[in-house]
Amino acid sequence: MEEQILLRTLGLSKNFGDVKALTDVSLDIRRGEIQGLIGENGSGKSTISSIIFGIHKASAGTMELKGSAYSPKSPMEARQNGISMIVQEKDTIDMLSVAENIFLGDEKEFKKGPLVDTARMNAEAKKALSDIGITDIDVTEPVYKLNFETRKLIEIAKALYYKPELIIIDETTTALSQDGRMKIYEIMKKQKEAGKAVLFISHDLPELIETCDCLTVLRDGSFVRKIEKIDFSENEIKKSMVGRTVAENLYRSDFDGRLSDEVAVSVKAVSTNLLKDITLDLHEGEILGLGGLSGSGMHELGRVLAGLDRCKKGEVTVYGEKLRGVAHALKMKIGYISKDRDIETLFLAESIQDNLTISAWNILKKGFLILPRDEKRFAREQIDSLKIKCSSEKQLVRELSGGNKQKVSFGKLIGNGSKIMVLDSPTRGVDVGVKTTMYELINNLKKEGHAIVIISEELPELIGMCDRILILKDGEKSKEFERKPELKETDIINYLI
Amino acid sequence: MKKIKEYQSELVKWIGLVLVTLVFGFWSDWNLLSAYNLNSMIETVTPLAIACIGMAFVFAHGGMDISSGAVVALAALLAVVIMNGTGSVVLGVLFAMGASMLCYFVNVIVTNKFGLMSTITSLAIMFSARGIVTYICQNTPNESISIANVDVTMFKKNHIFMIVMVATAMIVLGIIFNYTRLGKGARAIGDNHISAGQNGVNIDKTKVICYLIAGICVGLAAVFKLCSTGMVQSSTGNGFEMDILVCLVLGGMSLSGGMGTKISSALVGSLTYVILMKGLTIIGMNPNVVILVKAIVFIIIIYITTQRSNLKTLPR
Repeated sequence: MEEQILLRTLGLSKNFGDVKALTDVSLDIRRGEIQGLIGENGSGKSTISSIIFGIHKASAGTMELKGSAYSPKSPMEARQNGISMIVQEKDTIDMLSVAENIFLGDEKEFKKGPLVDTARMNAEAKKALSDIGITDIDVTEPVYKLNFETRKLIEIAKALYYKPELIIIDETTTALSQDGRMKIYEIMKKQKEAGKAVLFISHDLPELIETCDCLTVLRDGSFVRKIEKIDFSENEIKKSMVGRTVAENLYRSDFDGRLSDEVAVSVKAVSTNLLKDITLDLHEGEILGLGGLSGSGMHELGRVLAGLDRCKKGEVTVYGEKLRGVAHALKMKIGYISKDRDIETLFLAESIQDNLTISAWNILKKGFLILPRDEKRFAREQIDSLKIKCSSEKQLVRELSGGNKQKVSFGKLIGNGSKIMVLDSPTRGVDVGVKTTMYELINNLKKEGHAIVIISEELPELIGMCDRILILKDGEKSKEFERKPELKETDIINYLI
Repeated sequence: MKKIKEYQSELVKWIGLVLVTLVFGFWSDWNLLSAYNLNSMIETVTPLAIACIGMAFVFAHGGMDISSGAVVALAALLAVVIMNGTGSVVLGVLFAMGASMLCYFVNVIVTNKFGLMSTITSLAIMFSARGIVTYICQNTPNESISIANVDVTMFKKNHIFMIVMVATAMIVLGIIFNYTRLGKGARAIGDNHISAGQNGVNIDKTKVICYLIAGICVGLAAVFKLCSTGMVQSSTGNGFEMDILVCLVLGGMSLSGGMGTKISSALVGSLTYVILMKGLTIIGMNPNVVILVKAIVFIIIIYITTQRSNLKTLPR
């Protein structure tokens, strides 16, 4: 059996400053196996895979590759040892051509005198792409002209070009369409059949169950259990991920879609560059869903509601008062969480305290001064009530997991007493455990009489949470749905496209 | 232990200041701390520290300014003309501040309106201000304008007054910087201006006020500079902008701004810088070499500060 094991980790640990990202994880990856790696955000999936791929160095523990010691100092070295990885983030350089991206760092293979033999490189790139079944890409084009999915496929081609024995796929499929996914599954299957191995990281449970031979579950940086294919069951896996039983239904259980009479925000015939003549009312105690495709204008409508974008025509009124810009919106108790939370809502390089207090300065200030004592008390209150997992209020937000970051964003809105909340993609990139907490929180806010807008591309989320769903298409209102138990995704989809 | 870590960067710069003082004190047989040298250092550090404290507001929000040397010259020119004309020092001070504030107001308005890099705008301000001063000075008999018949001893030799001015600036602006919406907003902009805007910081207004504060300080610095030499010529204030930059960096100020910027960097930085320069002169280093040392110190400090901010982060 021993020789069957391709890679073995023994007691791997990794600390980032004071934060323990990984504690004593040992796992085996066998030949001819697709091993799934699953766990909540911040459970250490990306950490362990980046140690295997040589991006990070383990703080403690060792690895064995084919029976001999293995400790890569760089991804380059990992690749030479037959390990490739497709990372979660974008890993291509916009201005370089497809071929240049594929062979980035390996240009010396194509040296012709002091120059790079572009023609040969292009030919090789074409071959690398056709190996994974892609023939319709011009390899001389700069990648910024390609869409996100194609770029991912290029990264896959790059990873596979080196004929790796172990390929690590880190949450790649979420970015891909069904077609792209099929390609990846195909590649994984080939890899398996060739007696090589795959380490597959994904949030998509059905996908993992379908494709993997075994699943390793991580929680809070520690190994929880390894589940073989015969023992796969969705509930069982969820339970080991979260450490408790997860309700079958994540969403609101009631179907009371009645609206209060009090209108909080009223959008009157608003047009912008993208939006065309949008009219809607948002009531107190209502959860209004905005759905659509990414170019439908739903994100823009959210920005208009938050006072960030100006209307070309029409107006937005808040309790009868015309909305003038973002500062006024904040004064009128409108809170907004952007879909690009890390870039637009949070200050990643700063402490939780600084992040939480920034939108509450007006509340905290005494005369002209905002005192550190009050800031600290305020931050502690939010951290405790939202159960933000952190070492102290001084911890930097960038050190938090995705779910906890989102809690900090929520804390800003709750802390400054927002009555109207515009949440753009509030559960993007958070796992099922945090999602449940978010939904509970949103539901409680609704019960307290807050007016809430959820903008989301996930239809089940909209159906599950909202009193009314407004579907936008090409900047126009395409259809409105009321809350009812029979509402299905299939009813809505036709109005999206 | 945790406390020490929290105040690590604060400690490092104070330790640096003490070290520089000890090393050069020892090297110069404590001549560095003689009454004469102390007074001379107070005279040098006063305009520098005041300007740095004001400029901290600009750097905190991610702005960059290289016009202060020329602005000092323009403000000093106006001050000397007003003082000589009216015989009033106070009016001179007010006009110097006004001129400097105007320069920075134009700077920030142009930067905001056209979305330029603040460095580029300040370059234009620098050329304009320097141009005006050079033109006027060259059309005077001695190619310079001296203070005549006005008593400016207070700004020239009253060291207690100088210390009080620096302390006042530090305390008043320190409170604004650390504990008010303005100071916090400015630092938030330095971190992430999109987030700052979405969290209700009025970006344009905050920037304008920051530049005006810098203007007041640079104007005041100009008066001290003017009074110490007693005249304005076309080279007045040359290199002042770079001295400010070196001081701030020496004090541990991050050049990109952000919540983590400390206004104490301005004070500690200028003290360290002045002691370092004085020390080098006392131990007999060739003035031409001193400039080279300045450059080397600058690069080393930049290296250290970027290393420090390059903390390890978690993968998502």
